[in-house]
Amino acid sequence: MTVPDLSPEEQMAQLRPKEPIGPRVTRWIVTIVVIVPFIWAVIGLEISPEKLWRAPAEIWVLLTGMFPPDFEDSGRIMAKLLESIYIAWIGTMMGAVFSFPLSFMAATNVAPRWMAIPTRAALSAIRAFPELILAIILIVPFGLGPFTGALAIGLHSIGTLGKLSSEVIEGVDEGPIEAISSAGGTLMEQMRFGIVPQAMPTIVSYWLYRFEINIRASAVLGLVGAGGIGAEIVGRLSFRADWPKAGAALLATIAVVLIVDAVSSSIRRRIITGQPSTSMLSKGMIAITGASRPPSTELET
Amino acid sequence: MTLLAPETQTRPVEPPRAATYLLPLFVGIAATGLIGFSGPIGPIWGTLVGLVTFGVFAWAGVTRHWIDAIILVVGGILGLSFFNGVIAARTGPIDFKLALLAAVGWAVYGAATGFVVYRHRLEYRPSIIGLQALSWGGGATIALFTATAMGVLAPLNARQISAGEIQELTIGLFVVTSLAAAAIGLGANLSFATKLISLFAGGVVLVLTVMAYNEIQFSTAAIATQLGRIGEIADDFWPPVWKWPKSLGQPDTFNIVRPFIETFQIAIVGATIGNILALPLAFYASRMTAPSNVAYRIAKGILNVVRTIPDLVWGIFFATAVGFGNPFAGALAMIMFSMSIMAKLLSETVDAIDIGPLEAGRASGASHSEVIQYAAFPQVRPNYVAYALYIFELNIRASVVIGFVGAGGIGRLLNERRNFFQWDQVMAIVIVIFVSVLLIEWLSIWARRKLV
Repeated sequence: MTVPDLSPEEQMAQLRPKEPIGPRVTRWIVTIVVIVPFIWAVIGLEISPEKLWRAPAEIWVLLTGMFPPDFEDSGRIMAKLLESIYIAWIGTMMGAVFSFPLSFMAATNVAPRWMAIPTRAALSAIRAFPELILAIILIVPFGLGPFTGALAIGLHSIGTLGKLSSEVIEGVDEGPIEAISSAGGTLMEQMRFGIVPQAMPTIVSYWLYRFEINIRASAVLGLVGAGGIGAEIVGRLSFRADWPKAGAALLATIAVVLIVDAVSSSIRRRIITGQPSTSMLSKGMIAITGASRPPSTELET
Repeated sequence: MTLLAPETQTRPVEPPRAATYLLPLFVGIAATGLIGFSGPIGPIWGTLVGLVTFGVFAWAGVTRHWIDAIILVVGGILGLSFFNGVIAARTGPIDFKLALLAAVGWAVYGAATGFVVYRHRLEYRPSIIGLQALSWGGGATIALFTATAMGVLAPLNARQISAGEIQELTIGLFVVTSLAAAAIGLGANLSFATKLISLFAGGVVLVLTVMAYNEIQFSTAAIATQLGRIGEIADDFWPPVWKWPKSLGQPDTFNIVRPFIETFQIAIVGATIGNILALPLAFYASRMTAPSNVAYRIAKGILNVVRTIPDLVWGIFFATAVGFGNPFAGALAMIMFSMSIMAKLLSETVDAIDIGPLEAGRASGASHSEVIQYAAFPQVRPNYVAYALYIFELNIRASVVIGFVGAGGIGRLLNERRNFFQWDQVMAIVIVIFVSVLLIEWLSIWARRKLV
């Protein structure tokens, strides 16, 4: 290596790092960037101190109206919750089935550029429509009902799952793929035996994660008439006498979402690490089933 | 671990040929099935289900012992007779409570199958019997509930009940319930017996999909027809109309601008306050920096519940509380939304920080808040900034739709135009939302790349 011919000043300039902008200046800039839009927004929304003062009391009135909840027609609530779960399930299945091939088409290490770039663009375009907006558009051809909700959630899931899965595929170790191609494997075989075994656990855990999100999304789709528990909550909140029933629907929704989350996240951890998680739930499961030993330890020498 | 000496490795005993015991079994099943269409429904179907399960167990190599066959058949007769009795004695439509009660019968049968697995797989604890009962009972509950929805057993209305029109049990109901209960329950049996968890997973996935498919009346035919008349549908939406009169008799104006700005304002207020509120919560919700175990549990619990409630439900809640159509409600909802996500992300980051500075701070006598301020927060500051940007992006997306529930912003306008069936105006709003969501996403990616 040769040292370039530089004047002492230039050498000094290279050796000494640039002085940082004073932290005080940065702090001021950040403060202005945050505070000014905030004040603009507060003024724009007409949030007055009086409104802020009144809000807790109003929320308290609603809370005392909703609780204690009234579980009188719990059958209907359960039916609607089940419908929400079904919508989320079909949506997730649609998303998983269709996003799987698309994610290979969008991954730059598998697909050629001319295919990957448009696929990516299409996926991010799908993703830009929130589920609710997809639902109100889809209601026009498909009518009110859970079918429309499932389609809306499915479409949105294709966009998100496609993106996440293609990132997983791009992140796999290239070694096995090279080995297969040098042994004469076709592109199909490279994908099947080089990529799928590496990427599949993460992709499946993304599917489960999407199911958790979709449960939440399908819980609100009822707002626009696309099925599920949402309509129950909204409809009952509009009449004061029905508030206890709305409270029951809300509590049931929270319970179902928490249960699905707990089950799904313990399965996800099991898929990713190959071992039961350390959470309360899976410890309970192990205590019940008694299956505790991971099978792989026997092979160690 | 040492390998076994070659001479001690013995050849496994060859299993007997399948046909020798499967043939009589299938003949028995077929005969019972034929009688089942005329005879007493509970015991006959109980025998049938017991024999089928025994057949599957024999095929999977769990058991071939005649005692197990008797256990299964007796369990089946008891369980299904109970199930039949509950359903036949009902005085109203099949609701969730009745379905649960009837599923107790299936749970009894599940316990019998669990007992058989427990007899032959010594490594399991007796609790496997309870788990098996749960999976059969759970499968039956869902099945019964869906069977009513599918029309196998149509729900009765009040008039029919008062007139005494209780429906007879149908073979169809039994078939559907048994199949669904069996897919989940038998799947669990087999995956316990053979330790192949994928069998159980496959069963659950299959049953859920089939049921959901029926329940929500999924129809590929409808998709095909509607795709065929896509031109007609597009006529409603296209071309988008950007200007319309605010009320009758007034000139056309751009009415999108004001709600659009309002959406941004909701997102800004929500993200700012939510991010600030999340800071203390995040430090309480991490084991690393929580002052006590109780505080940690409480903070974690609050976060879990807040995160469980979808943003739109928060929107409805606050809109009901502070008034419909009030953007203030939207801002409140966005505060809860941002706070829960930020606190979760940040607390997970705090879990992974270097403990050294914290210990140094404590050792030199710093108070708890000083430790957090000078030792913990500086370690996560870059993450905090990156998360804040991400949450702002999420907030824009979420505040677009929050107006649907009467919480202000562009969603309210969208809902209003939709209620007037002005699809071309809806299209214009959708385009605005689409473009702004894309722009915000790109901006946010660009900014994060610059910062991190």
